[in-house]
Amino acid sequence: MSDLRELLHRYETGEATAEEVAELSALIKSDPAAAREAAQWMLMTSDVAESLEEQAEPQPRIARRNFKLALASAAAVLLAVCGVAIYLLVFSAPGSPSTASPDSSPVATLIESIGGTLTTPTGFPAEGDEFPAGDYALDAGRAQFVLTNRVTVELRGETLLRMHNPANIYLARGHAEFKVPAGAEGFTVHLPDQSKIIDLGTAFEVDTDDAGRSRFRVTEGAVAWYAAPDADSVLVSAGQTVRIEEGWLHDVAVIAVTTQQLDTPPTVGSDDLAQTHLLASASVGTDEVSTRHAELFNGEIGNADGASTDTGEVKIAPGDSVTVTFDTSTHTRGYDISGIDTIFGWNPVAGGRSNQGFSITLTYIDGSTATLVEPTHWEPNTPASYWTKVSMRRAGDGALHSEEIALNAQAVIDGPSVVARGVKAVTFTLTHGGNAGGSVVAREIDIFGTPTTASPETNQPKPTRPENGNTPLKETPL
Amino acid sequence: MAPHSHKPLEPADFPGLWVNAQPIVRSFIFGTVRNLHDAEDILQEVARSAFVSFDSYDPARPFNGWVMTLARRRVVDHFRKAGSDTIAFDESTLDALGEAHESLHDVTHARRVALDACMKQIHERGRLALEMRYKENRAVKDIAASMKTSPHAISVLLYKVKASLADCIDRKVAEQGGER
Repeated sequence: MSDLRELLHRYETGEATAEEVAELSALIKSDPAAAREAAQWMLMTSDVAESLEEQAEPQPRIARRNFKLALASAAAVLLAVCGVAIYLLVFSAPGSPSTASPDSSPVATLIESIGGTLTTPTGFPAEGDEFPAGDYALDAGRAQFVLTNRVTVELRGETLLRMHNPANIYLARGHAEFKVPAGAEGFTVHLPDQSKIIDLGTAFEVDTDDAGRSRFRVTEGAVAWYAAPDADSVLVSAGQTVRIEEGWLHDVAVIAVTTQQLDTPPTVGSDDLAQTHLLASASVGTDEVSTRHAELFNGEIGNADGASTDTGEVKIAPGDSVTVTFDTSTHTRGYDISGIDTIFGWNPVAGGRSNQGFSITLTYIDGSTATLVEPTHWEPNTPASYWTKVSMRRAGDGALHSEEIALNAQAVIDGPSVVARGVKAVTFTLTHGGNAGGSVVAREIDIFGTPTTASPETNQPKPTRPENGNTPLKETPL
Repeated sequence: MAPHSHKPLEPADFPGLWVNAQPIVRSFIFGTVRNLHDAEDILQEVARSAFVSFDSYDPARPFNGWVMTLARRRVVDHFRKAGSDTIAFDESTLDALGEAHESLHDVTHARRVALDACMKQIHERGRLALEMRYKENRAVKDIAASMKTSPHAISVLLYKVKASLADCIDRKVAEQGGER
C-alpha cells in the first residue's frame, strides 16, 4: 500500500495535485481495505500531533485550544446544564483522593489551562469558571488558578492536588507554583511526607514525585518549613532550593546552563583543570574520540574548514564517553569544580553536529560517583550556527541567562561558586547525536576549578538543622 | 426478534461516550482538513454540537456513527467555505473515510500505545521535522527553510518517518495479538 501512503502523505502536506487527490479518492471509495489503511494513516498522524503536544513544554496559544480542550468545552456546557460532577463517574481513577469538602462555595477561579486536560471538583473547566474545594488533576501542560485569597496557583505537568480551602492545599504529586500576596501570609502547602510549607509572603514552587518525596524552591521572600505538626520551623529564603529527606532539609545547588550559538570561534580556556592538573584522559567509543580524546582538553579547537582531521576536531557518536582524570598525587583531596564549558562546532548545513547532549558523571576522591548532569539534558543547536558553547555554573554565579537544571543531590555541596568538591575525574557520555542520530563534532572541554583545600566532610549534602529559637507558626486547621 | 431495550440517556452519559469517540473523530477531521488549527476549531464545534443535540441521539445506534455524521457535515461545510480553489476530498470520499474511521474504534487505544513506543525510535532530525509539522503546524517549505534543505527533502523525510512509524505500529499491534 505504499502508493496509497504516498498519496495520503502528499494530500496531508498539501503537495498533492488535483489528479492525485482524485486518484486517492477513487482508491478509498473502491476498496474498503484501502479506506481502512487510509484511516489508520490519518489516525497515526493525528496521534503523532497529540503525542508531540503532550510531550512538549506547553506554549501559550492565544485563542486556540488543543484537542483535549474540545472535550473540556463540551463538558463545560454539559456541566452548566446539569451541574453534577460527571468526571467522578467517568474519569476519576481508582485510589485518587476524593473531594475533600462538601462545601460548594467557590475557592478558585481558573485563569488559563493550556496543553492538557484539567479536571476539577465540578468537571472540565473553562477559563473564568469558579470551583469549590476538592481535587484538581492535570495530566499535562499547565493550568493557572487564582484563589479567593488572591494566591496564584500554577500547575505544570501531571499534577494532583487537593484544595481544602484557599489557605490550605495538599500537593499529592507533580509540580505547583505559588505566589502569595501581602495579606495572605500563612498560606500552607501540605506534603505527602506529613511536612508542610507555610508562606511568609513570597513565591515558591514545589515538586512532589510519585514516591511522595518533595523538593521546593523559594523564588521570593521566605517560607517556614515544618517537618511535622509539632516540629520547630526552618526558615528557607529566596534563592534556596531544598530537598526533603527523612525529615531534614538539604540544600540543592542549581546549575545554570548558558548556551551560546556563534558564527566565530569562541574563546577557549588555557588555565582550566583539564590542562593544568591533567593526569590522563580516556575514552570508550566507536568514533574518533576513541583515539583522539586528548585533543578535547588541549586548548585547541581547530578551525571551520570542514575537515575533521584538524587537531581539536573530534567526532563523537552517541554512547561514546570520555573521561578526564585529574592529577591527585599532590592535591590528594581532589578538586572543587566551579564550572564546565563545552565547545562543539561544525557546518550547520550538516545539521545537528553542534548539538550538545551529554550526561556528566563525577568521580570523587574516595571512588564514589554521582551524576552531575542527567542524560536527558540537551542543548540543541537551534537556530543553527557553526559553533555552540555550553557553560555550566552554579546558579547565580555569573551565568548570562539560563535554564536551570537541578544537580543530582549527591553531587552537591555548599559553598559559593562550587558545583562539587573533592572530585578526581569527570566523565562525559554523549546521549544525543547529530543529524540522523550520527556523530557530533566536539572541539574542547574546559573544566574550571581549584584544588580542594579542606577535606570534604562528605559527598552527601549537609542537613540544615532547625534553628533554635524559632517560634512554630500557627497552622490554619484543615 | 424482540427489539433491544435501551436505557434513556442522561446528559451525564455524554462525556464517557465522547471520550471513547474522540480519537477517531479527531483523526477524521485532522486527516481530511489537514490544518491543525482549523481541525481544532472544527473538533470543538463537533463536541459542542454533539452535546447540544444529544437528546436527538438514538441510543439504539452506535454513538460513534452518530457523532461521525456530525463531523462529516462540519468538514463538508469547512471545504465549502474554503471554496473551489482548495483541493480536497469530495463528499463520497469523506463518507468512505468516515466509515473506515468508525471501523477503527476498537483499535485506537492499542495503536496509540504502540505509537508512543515507536516514537522513541525516531532519529532527531525526523523528530524535529515532525515537531515543526505537527506541533507547530508549519508548512513543508517553511520547515525546509528552517532546516536549510529543500521542500522535497523535507517531504521525503516526513514520509519516511511516518511510514516507519506506521510499520512499527503494525508490528507492535501484531505482536500484541493483532487487532480485534
